[in-house]
Formats: sequence, C-alpha cells, structure tokens
Amino acid sequence: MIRLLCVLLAAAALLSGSGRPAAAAGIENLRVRQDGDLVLFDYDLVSAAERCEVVLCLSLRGRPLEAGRLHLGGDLGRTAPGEGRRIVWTAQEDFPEGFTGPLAGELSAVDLEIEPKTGMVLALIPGRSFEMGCGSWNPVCEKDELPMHRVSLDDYSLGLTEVTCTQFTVYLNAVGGDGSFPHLARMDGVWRAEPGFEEAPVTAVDFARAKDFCTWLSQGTNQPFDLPSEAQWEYACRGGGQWQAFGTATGSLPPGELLAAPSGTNLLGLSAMSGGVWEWTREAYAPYGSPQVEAPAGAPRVLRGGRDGGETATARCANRYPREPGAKDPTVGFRVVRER
Amino acid sequence: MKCPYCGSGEFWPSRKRLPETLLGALLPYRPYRCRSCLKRYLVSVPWYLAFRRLVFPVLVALVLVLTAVIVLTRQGRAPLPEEQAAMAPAAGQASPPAGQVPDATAAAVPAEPAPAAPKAASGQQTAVFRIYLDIAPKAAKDASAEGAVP
Repeated sequence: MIRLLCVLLAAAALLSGSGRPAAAAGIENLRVRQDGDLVLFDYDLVSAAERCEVVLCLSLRGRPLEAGRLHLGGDLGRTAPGEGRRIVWTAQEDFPEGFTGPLAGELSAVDLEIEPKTGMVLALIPGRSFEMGCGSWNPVCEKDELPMHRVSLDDYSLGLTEVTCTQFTVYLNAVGGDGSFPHLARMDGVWRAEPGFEEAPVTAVDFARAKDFCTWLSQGTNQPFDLPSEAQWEYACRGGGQWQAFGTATGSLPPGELLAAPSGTNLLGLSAMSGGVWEWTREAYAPYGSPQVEAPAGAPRVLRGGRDGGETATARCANRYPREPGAKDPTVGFRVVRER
Repeated sequence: MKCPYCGSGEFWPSRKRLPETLLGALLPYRPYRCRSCLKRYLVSVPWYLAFRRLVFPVLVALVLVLTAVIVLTRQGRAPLPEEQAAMAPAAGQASPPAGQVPDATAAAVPAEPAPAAPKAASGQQTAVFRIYLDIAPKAAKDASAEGAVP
C-alpha cells in the first residue's frame, strides 16, 4: 500500500511538473453564451506583449468546424491585451437550417513580437516536453517518423508565416545578394517583390541562403535567429504538442488527395504549417534515435510541412522529407526561429 | 479464535517463515496451526486492526483522489512510450529517395480525414468551453418577422 502511494505521488509530481509553459498570453474569465442568433465569447486577454494572436477552435457534436468559413468577428486574430474582449459568431448564417446541440471548443492566445529588421512577426511559444513522431492520431505513418520519443524544448519564438518575398528583399538589398527567385525582381540594383506577391512566401532558397538570412537577422540585434529544429517545428505545427495530425486549428484537413490551399492558422496562430511551401529545418536527415554527430556540409536536410498541390499525407506535422541542401525548389521556403 | 477451515478452537502458534521473520514486529499478523485439521491460518495483530480501522480509509481516499488527478491529467497528454509500443503504425510508407522533387513523395493518401485527435493541455494560454446551442432556422425567423409587420 505504501509503495503504491509512493508510486502514485511520484507519478502525480512528474505529471504536474511537465507541461507547464512559462509566462504566456492568457485567456481569463471566458464566458460563452447564446444571444438569439449570435454566440458571444467574452474574455479577458492577459499578456505582457503588445499584441497577441487569438485563435478559436470550434466543434459541433465532435465535428470540427473550419473557423475560416464561419461568420466570426470581433477580437479574433491579432488582438491587443485587455479586459472585455469579445468574439461574435453569427451562427445562423452558418446554420440557416438551425441547429440544436452541444458546442465545444477552445480559445487560445500566444504573445507576438516583431523582428526589427524586416518587421517579421513571431509567436512566442512556451516550450515543454512532448512526444515527437508519428502517433495513432495520424492517418498514416512513415518509417522515418518512428519511434515516438520524448523531446524537451525551451521557450522559443517562431515566425507566424514563412519568410515573405518582401522580407527577403530587405535581406538581399542589405547584403547585396544575387540569384534568381520566383516573384522577385532586381531593378536598378534594388530587389523588389512583384506586385501581388509581397506577402507570398519566398521560394527557391537553398539551405545555405536560408541559414545566411538567419545569420543576417542575428547580426546587430543580439538575438539568435536560426532555422527551426525538427522538434521545434513539429511541436509548433501540432499547436503546442497536441495530438494533431495537421497544422490547423482543428488538427485535420478537408478530405482530398491533394492540398488545395495552405492551411489556416493553428492553435498557436501559426499559418500555413501544413501546405503552403515546404520549409527547411536546420537538422540533417537521420533516423530518430541515431547518435548525434556533426553532419557533413552536403548531408540532406529535412523539409517539413508539404506544399500546395502536394499529397495531403505529406502535409502531416510528423512528415519528414530529406532534401539536398543545395536544392533551390520553387516549392521550398523557410521560416525562422529565435531561441530565448 | 477458531480455525477458519474446520472451526476448531484448538491451535498452537505456527513457526514463522523466512519472509515473516524478516519483517519482525512489522508483521501485521500471527500464524497459527489448527490442531484438528493441521492447517495454517493467520490472525491479524491488534495494531494492524486499529490501522485498518483508522488509517486505511484515509489512505484509500487519498489513493482515489490521486488516481483521479492522474487520470484527468493523462487525458490530455501524449501517450507514454509503452503506450506507443502498442500503437501499430498504419500501412508502411517508404521515404522518398534523395534527389526526388518534393511534390513526388511516395506517401499514401488517407482515405478519410484525420480522426478527431484528443487534445493535450497546452497550458495557461488556452481556455476550453462547452455550451448547448439552440439556433432557430433562418426561414422560421424571417417568417415570424414578416408576420410581425402590421
């Protein structure tokens, strides 16, 4: 009996000790109520940051709803902290036939910070330990995504989006870079993004150039920017280590063999984690569990996230794709991480 | 004190076995052997009876509370390694060969969307809720609005 108690106490201490993020944006005093045709979400947003990203995830009778298609308004998305925040859902517009049943969901928020050189927005992600790899919540698993293994992460910040064409032109103009990139043009020695593609992710960037971009960001700011590690990327894609196959708020994607469009935001406010373009990670491709050794310069690096028009299964958060670091694919971009 | 097997009241103390000897005074019972049927039986000592009456219910309650806490916490966590071992991966998928373009990966396509995944506790930044909705049909509302016009 005493042994059992000790084991239980140790287990409880272990469980309560892990999974507690550091200081982060907080949703407090959440009150959800129906007012006629409307569903009102009143909450207080507590944060030390100037801006937060607020994400709402809804499910009716266990069926996840795509927030992007709902008639949602109010303090959703980029929101300033404060009391008395409100999200309004005009539910009758989405259910003209009426609806009776339980609505469940979660409201989450992350702090945002602005990178000074390019204006890039990063989400502050509280790190913790999580099970990395392909679990039973995935529709399929590949061999290189197994075995599941526990990884502990420190707090870090990750770009809300992939590095955009506009942000990349700032870098190119600063370092006098050359090359050929889709939707970027050099006129009179100045790099510019083509009209309409300012916010599109920059592509055809090889691994070395992506690393150089991070090094340039770090210079003069005393902030260690880098490409994300595989664990950082996967943890963020899964909305903070949740059991989600895809990087969406609901953790799923519409049925279909091919990705039609980038996924919306996930529970951390990160967009296009599944779909969009493939994203470089800083790690060399190696089976999980293999000893950590310094990879040679030409060793394949891991791409994550899938791309628009690609197969849905490749956009799973756990999916790994090895690619030569010198490749300049028009379907490959990157996002940056800042260690904290 | 009667033999639980034959009901005889005649007994003599039985020799303690090695593990019982090692426990010494902590042994919560005394062994006896029935003189009639020669079977060995155990009789709780007074301190253990008191322990059971007073402390045992408290410990049981504590264990139940702790178990509930652990179960509630575990509902939102990723599976433990031993649980993972029991999870059979889906149909095997070969990794794409190096040099292949990214959009030509040999991943199998799921026939259905991903199953609803249990959510892990993501800390202070998330609030969960549940509400029962009763949204009226739009047509019914429009009709009632028309009827209200004088």
